[in-house]
Amino acid sequence: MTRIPPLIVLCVFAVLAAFSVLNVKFSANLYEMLPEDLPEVQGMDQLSRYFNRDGQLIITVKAEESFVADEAVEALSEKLKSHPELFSDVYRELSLPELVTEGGGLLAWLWLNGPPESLDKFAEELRKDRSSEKIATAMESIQSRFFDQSAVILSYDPLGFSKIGDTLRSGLDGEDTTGPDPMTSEDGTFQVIYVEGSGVDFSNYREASEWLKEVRPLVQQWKETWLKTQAPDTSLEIGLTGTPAFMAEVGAAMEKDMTVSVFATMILISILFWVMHRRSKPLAWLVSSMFAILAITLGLGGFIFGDLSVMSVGFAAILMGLAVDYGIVIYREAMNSGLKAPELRRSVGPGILWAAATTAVVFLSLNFSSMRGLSEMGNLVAIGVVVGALVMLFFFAPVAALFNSDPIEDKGTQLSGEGMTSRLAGIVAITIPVVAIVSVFVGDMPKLEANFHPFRIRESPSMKSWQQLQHELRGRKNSVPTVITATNAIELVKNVKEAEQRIESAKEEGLLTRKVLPMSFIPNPEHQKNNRATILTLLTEKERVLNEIGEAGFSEEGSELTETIFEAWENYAAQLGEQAYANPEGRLAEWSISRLFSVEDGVFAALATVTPAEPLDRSWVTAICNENTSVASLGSLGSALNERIRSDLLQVFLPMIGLLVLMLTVVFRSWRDLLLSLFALLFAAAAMVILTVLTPLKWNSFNVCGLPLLFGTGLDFSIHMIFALRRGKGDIGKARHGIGKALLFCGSSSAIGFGSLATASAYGLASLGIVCAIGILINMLVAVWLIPRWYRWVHRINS
Amino acid sequence: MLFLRSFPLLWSCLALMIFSPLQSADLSVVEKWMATNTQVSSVKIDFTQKRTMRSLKVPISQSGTLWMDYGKDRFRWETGEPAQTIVTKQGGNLLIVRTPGKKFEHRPFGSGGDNQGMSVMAGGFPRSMSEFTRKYRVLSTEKRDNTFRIATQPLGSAGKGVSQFTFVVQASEYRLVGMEIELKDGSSINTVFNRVELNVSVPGSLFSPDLTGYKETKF
Repeated sequence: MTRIPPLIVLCVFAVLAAFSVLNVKFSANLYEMLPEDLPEVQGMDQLSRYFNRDGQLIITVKAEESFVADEAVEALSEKLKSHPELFSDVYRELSLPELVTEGGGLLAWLWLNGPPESLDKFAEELRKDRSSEKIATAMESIQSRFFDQSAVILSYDPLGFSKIGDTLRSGLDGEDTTGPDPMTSEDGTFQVIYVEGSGVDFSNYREASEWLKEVRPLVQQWKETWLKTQAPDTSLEIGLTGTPAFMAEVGAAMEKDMTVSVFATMILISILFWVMHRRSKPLAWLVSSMFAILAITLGLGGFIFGDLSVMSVGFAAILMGLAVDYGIVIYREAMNSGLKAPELRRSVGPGILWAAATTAVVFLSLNFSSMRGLSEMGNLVAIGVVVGALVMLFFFAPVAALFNSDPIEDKGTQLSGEGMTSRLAGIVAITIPVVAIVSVFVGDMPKLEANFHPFRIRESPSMKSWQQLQHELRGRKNSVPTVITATNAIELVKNVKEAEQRIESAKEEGLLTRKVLPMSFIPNPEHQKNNRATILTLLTEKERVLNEIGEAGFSEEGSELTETIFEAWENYAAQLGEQAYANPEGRLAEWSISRLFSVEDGVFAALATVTPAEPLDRSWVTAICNENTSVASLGSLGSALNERIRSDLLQVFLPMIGLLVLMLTVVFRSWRDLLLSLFALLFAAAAMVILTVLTPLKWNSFNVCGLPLLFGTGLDFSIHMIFALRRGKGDIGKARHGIGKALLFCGSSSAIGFGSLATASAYGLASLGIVCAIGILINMLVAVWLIPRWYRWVHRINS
Repeated sequence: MLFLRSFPLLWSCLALMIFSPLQSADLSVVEKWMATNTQVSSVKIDFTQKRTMRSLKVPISQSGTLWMDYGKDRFRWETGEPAQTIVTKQGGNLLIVRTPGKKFEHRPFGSGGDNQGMSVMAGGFPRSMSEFTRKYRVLSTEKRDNTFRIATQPLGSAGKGVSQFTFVVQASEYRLVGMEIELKDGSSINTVFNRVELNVSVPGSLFSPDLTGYKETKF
């Protein structure tokens, strides 16, 4: 087997691993890795399920002047419509002529769906003896008033159908009733276009990404061409956001993260192996084995878990860092002993399998965490280390046994007992904990960052565009989508009313500053049933009313809106003869209603919006959420996750410490070694505290989950070193040359594995990688250089 | 409501074709016009206005008077003889009075879409080049008969819904003699200044009409 050129072996397994990575299905939904019982997570899930469309891209347009934005949006919309292979529909804020043409269906539906008393009052004004007076008043107002936009609107709507908004508001809470999503900022310089993509399966982020690769140049090319027709100083910013942009971005980032971290880990571990062993052929086989482990684990992970979350992306690099240790153990044993593969397996197999089992258990303990993504990552690493142990024992061991004719004892880095004096070890032992305590009191106490950014992608153009959209559009700043669900339309109306009461109470308590409820846009079967008779009566007056409008001096355009409303009412009345409520008809009506009301998989959902006074605080969440109301609040989610993580740490970490102290007592059967081991852990913790107080490194709800892993590795390293010292009766040189070198490699390789995540796209994953890499290096340095000296001091060994 | 938020873009393309921004604009006309305004503190204008709306069968014509007091940022606009509609602005508020029904409305300036087109009157005509260029982008200047027509695009919120705003300036003395506003729905407003009096006396009572017997309403 060793006659096969190593480069070919390496290439074959690298291709296999690359193929596996490319076939992994990543889930771009960040909420899928969070605790599902939190109302914030439920809100994000429901918002995505009921109101986000996989193929709906949002194009943001920002210009210096509103007329430039108007013209750009108009021209870009036309350009997009000319590509039906890419876009099935394009929505932008309609112009007045378009509203006259398309707004009738929506206005008719809103009157039908509104309170019966409002429609009755309106119908009273359309009576034969009153309607002509109303129309004449409108005409007089248009002729004599100060000319403004409301005069223009009145000229298209002399009967005042468009005042439905005022009518609905009068019975509710002034500014807090809702209309469809605004698409233009107050000053008109920022506008959005909603685009429905076509031609690909948008639930697959890779297809969405390919689609975007066609859309981006198209938009960019249009922008360049369009700007040439404008004044030289004209500027235009175009942004892409929405589900396909997010999915493509997150998916691509995850693929990149996994690929970069795996290959960076491989390269760094190879360099480390070369520095320590100076052999290329075994290195090629070792790296090939790691590629095989990655491929098998990814296959199993995909089979067991389906789509992998952004957090799981980091598992591959961590796994590489851990699995290589087994290969090193086998390799060194083969070199030292000259054993053949079966004997080699019998010799080191039990140890490796036990080590893999222990590591797997530590990672499986992440299942106690509420974070689903972290549990998934722990499970993947656990599977991976078991696979790694088996691959190394049954694939790499036979190869390693073939290299044992060339001893390596004198090759590579060697460790000695020099370098750290007893005096220096004593000073360090006192200084670091003291500095840690002082820095905590002088600086800030280490605490969890209370925000959601650890779960976000660092460089995200689509997130920037989304934030700009939230900032620019009216009422969007700090507003939180609130989803209310029910099993039918009548129950939904009831649930929304109940939610409104809770929201109102929260507002009175000062927890909320604003609310926008979708009541008018939710089908109300009871209202519609009661209004049907009035509508049928009004329909008999249609021709008379239209004639009166014409006779008053309004043109065909001036009566068009009224006519389309009557036509829509005819259709709605017919629908109500057959079903519980009429569905809105017409492009604008369907679009507007679907933004706030949805029926999916038998669940009726409504979308409200609230603006919390203190977004990071959770008291408003508790005040308004229940089993059918949830909020997609990223602000309070950060606080919620921190609460959950603290609880996880108390529930999981503290019992784990107690159990391990008990185990250490049994293992060491020596209070001196027990104290030494615990002090080593405390010392490493103190070093981490200093780092988090004095450097930009901070704890967050993501990287704090690395604490149990650091605790485990610290314990593991100290046990190995203390037992080596026991065996050598405190001979530091011997212990360092043997277990010290192994720990140096294992610690470095694990740190490389974690450290390679520093470039990860997700803040949290990168910070987890950095914290774990630093923590493992500290544990390694403590075990290799400090514990031997402390051991001699504790056991009073002087010579 | 969506209705109250938007305004059409229908004429933008046409305006672009007719008054291409790349077409050179003779700003010296604007400069000369602005130079006539420097010493003006108040103005009284008798005007005739013609509104052509797509939604109406026949255009609306009306005559009226506009007083502007630059020093105190106020104006009075009235139409009809006797006055049928009076609109005054003091500071940030508009007062709209309809004499036939004895009704009035107080409205913050800019809240009812009144920034569309009439903002020029409400905000006062620009009186310096820097103010003009801050508020308008000149699309073209054209000499027609004995006038210069300065076609502009209002900038900022005043530009919403306005396709083109044309100032008509007398060619000999560079005095403003009219305005033409094209709205994006295809409607237009042509205002001709029949008589312009500069630095006239503008008593405070002009801007605070007597509302005795009037009822507050929402037009």
